[in-house]
Amino acid sequence: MFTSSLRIVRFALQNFWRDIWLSTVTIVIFVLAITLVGILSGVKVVTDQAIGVLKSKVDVVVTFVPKTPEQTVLDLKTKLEQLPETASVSYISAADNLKLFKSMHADEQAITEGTDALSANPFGPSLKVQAKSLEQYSSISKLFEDQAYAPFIDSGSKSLESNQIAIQKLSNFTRTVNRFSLALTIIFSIIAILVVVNTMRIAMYSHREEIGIMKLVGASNWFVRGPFLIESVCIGILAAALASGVIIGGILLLSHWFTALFQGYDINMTAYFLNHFFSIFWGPLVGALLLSMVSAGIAVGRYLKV
Amino acid sequence: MITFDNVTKLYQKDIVGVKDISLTITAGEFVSIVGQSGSGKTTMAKLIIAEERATKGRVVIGDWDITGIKHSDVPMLRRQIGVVFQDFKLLPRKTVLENVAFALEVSGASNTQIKSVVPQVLKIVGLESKQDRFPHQLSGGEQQRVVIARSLVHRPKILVADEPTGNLDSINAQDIIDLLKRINSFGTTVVLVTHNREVVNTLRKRVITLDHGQVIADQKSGKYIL
Repeated sequence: MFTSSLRIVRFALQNFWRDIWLSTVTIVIFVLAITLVGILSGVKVVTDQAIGVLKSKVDVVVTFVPKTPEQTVLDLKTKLEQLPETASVSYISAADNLKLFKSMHADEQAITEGTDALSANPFGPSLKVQAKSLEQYSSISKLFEDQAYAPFIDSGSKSLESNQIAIQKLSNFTRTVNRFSLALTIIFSIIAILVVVNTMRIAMYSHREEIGIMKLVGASNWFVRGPFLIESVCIGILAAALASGVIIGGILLLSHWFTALFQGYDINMTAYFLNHFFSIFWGPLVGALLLSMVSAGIAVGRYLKV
Repeated sequence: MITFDNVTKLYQKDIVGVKDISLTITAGEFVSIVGQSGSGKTTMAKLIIAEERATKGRVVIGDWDITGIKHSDVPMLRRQIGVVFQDFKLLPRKTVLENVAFALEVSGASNTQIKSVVPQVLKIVGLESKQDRFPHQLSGGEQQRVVIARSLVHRPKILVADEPTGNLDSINAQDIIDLLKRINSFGTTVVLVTHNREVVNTLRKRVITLDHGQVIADQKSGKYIL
């Protein structure tokens, strides 16, 4: 058994090397298929990150009228924090709101003088709420209609309404992008699968006579199939390694573009890709390896009935 | 011993390969199976190596009834029968030495055994100096000698040669027939399927003549009668 297994491995490596042109062509086609799906996986990651950045910038600010009892604001804060849809709630005091307003209008003398002339703080406190997903803002906002809080919420605060529209638009946009990217991934994955399977079938077809001869000489099915399976594993591994090289090269080439795209945000896309390389690209890499084995096994099986 | 007991082979429903054939080939015999194209000669060879299954009747090799042989047992049968084909059927990606060794490797022979037996067999067929060449680097006659070496290497009791001279010139054809006679002289049963009149007439061995799938003559020391 051990001797036979060693022979099968030897035959596989021998066949791979002696038919180097067919092996090379098969590997090149595999690399193209893997890279194609790999690029789509990469694009999806970049899109997800970009959408993530947009989402992280979305929040709802509820401003209270001046002289709202602090306990009412803190009660609402606690209730908001208890909602499963809430990601974070931060309390901004009336004094902080005034400070923020002044800093935003520091260059406008009239506004600065006007606010300084006021004897009392015209601002009330506010709560800045972030939901876990865009779709959850509408359910969170229902709490603001509660009669315990609604009278204290500043009617002039339009943040809620205008944000709702923007959130809805963003939500629709991300849903469309995700659907489009999923559809593209499915279509190109199917194309890649067909390419890999048919390449292997053609490779096995070119060896059909050889398979028949082995059988006529008395080789058992596994003795015939074994070298072809191992050869397909070699092709799959080499193609995966080369495709990884191509993808990594592409990532490094595009690193300047990634830096420009996420400028101002704490995101290093190149490092992210390199650190999460296998978790992002395992699908096409492992898929090509398994597909090449399975399709080789099935294709050889067709010619074993001699 | 090879026994055909009332064997019929039909391809699809009404295409006759062989029909109602009953004969026995005893151990050590040299038998020529002759007939025109489509007479059923190759079907008989294929039935012996279980490449085809009989539609009716029994095919027995030694004590082994191979009529309903299981697919998993076919390799075992083929390791005991040497087969020579008209179109050589050599493995293109293997050298002469590797092609011959392959027949032993599939049966699990040890490397020591392979290293000792293969050069001897290559010497018998006169190809020891070309053992590292690939099939496409050999002439037709040389390729056929490699096939014979491969079919001999596991010391089979039966050698089936299906039109072994069909693709060769007369000089190479005679060399191959001489080689088959030599193999037969060692005690191997040789079943030669041919339509080469000259070869059959010079052999002066048993001749079974087929026509339309049926045996029309079985002569102990016969000639090509068609």
